[in-house]
Amino acid sequence: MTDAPATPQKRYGTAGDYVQLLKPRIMMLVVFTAVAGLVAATGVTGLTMNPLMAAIAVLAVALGSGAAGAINMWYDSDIDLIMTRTSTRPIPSGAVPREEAIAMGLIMSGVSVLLMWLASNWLAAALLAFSIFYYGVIYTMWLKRSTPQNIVIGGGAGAFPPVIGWAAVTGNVPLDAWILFAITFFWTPPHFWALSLLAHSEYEKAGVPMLPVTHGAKATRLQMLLYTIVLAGVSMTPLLTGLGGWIYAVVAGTLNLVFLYHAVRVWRSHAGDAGAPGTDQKMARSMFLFSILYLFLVFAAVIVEHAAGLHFPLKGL
Amino acid sequence: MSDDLKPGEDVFPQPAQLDAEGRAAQKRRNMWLGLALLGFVVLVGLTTVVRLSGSDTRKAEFYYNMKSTSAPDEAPALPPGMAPDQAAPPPNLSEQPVVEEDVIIEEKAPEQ
Repeated sequence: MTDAPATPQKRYGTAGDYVQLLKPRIMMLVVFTAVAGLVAATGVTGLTMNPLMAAIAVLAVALGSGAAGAINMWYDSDIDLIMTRTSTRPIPSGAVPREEAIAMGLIMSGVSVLLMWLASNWLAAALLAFSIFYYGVIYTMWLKRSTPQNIVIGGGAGAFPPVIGWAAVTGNVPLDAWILFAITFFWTPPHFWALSLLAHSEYEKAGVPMLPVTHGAKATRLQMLLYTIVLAGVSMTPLLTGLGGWIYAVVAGTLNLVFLYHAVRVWRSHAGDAGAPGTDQKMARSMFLFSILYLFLVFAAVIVEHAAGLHFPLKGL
Repeated sequence: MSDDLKPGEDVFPQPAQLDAEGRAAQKRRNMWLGLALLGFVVLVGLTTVVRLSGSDTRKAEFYYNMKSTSAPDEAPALPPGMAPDQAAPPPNLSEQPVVEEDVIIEEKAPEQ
């Protein structure tokens, strides 16, 4: 059960509060993976996009991400107030009224989809609209509070940006685009569960059925290891299709080894258990931080190969 | 209703009285909203200009271009074995459509 939330103190919101409403850190990752999809599509298919249209398409993805973030904060403002980590967000802190947050989210959703349609094509716009709906409604309103698989299924929302970027260039979504989707999809559980191992008491207090709350820390650590193994395999599939070349092989291969090392270390630790030593908790934290670097570098390798003309496919695969 | 109240004062809520900080915050918000709206208009304008400059209005066959004077890009393919002069219309045929005189046919009433 959730505790009764305290009433937020009224204060006047600044521009920074409204920016926080858009979850800028998630937005950066979303934009980066969308650019990777866009660049990879150009490199693989040889199709080009007007640079101004490409910039507007990327802006549309950023706005869509921000819109989904605002809708998420609007709906989750009750549990955000309960959890210490989120209690300083714009709505629970009283800086931004809830109705302004939802209005901003809905208007930005419409604007982002319209801009995407104008700058690229209807498929990219439809995918963007669906990803906003996926995050704002399917994940936030349904999955998050109802199942411990919330971030596994909900991870699909964050995996769409490279597919949207690809569709913006080519007007279709071939296998390579879905491989980029799969990398982000299988990356999400070990990334998010590493954080939830550290904050499971907060989720429990707020009544959010995260895996460590419902199945315990030990089961979560095992699931993190399994998903990391799957991710290691999925992240090497670009070598089979020709999407990734030598640079990608070296970068992804090295990152996979380090990520697996982190996952095994956390699996063998007591991170998330009651009374777990500080060193074990640090292991989960370092895995969480490394997971962000992992996704950034994997997609950076894709961008560098295709944008800088350094794509040398592995022969014979 | 109190005698001091004017008609409607007890029904309609009074506008919120903002202090100086509140008014400044409202002004800032309005300015950002205005800039965002302007940005949106500029982006839509830019996309329209780029899209129109890259499009071929002749191929698009805009509604005002009803009578296209341009030649088609490619002549239709001839059947196998047919020479181009065979496909041309016979010389005795005019390109102008022949307007036939109206022929009025009077229907006879059926005989009883």
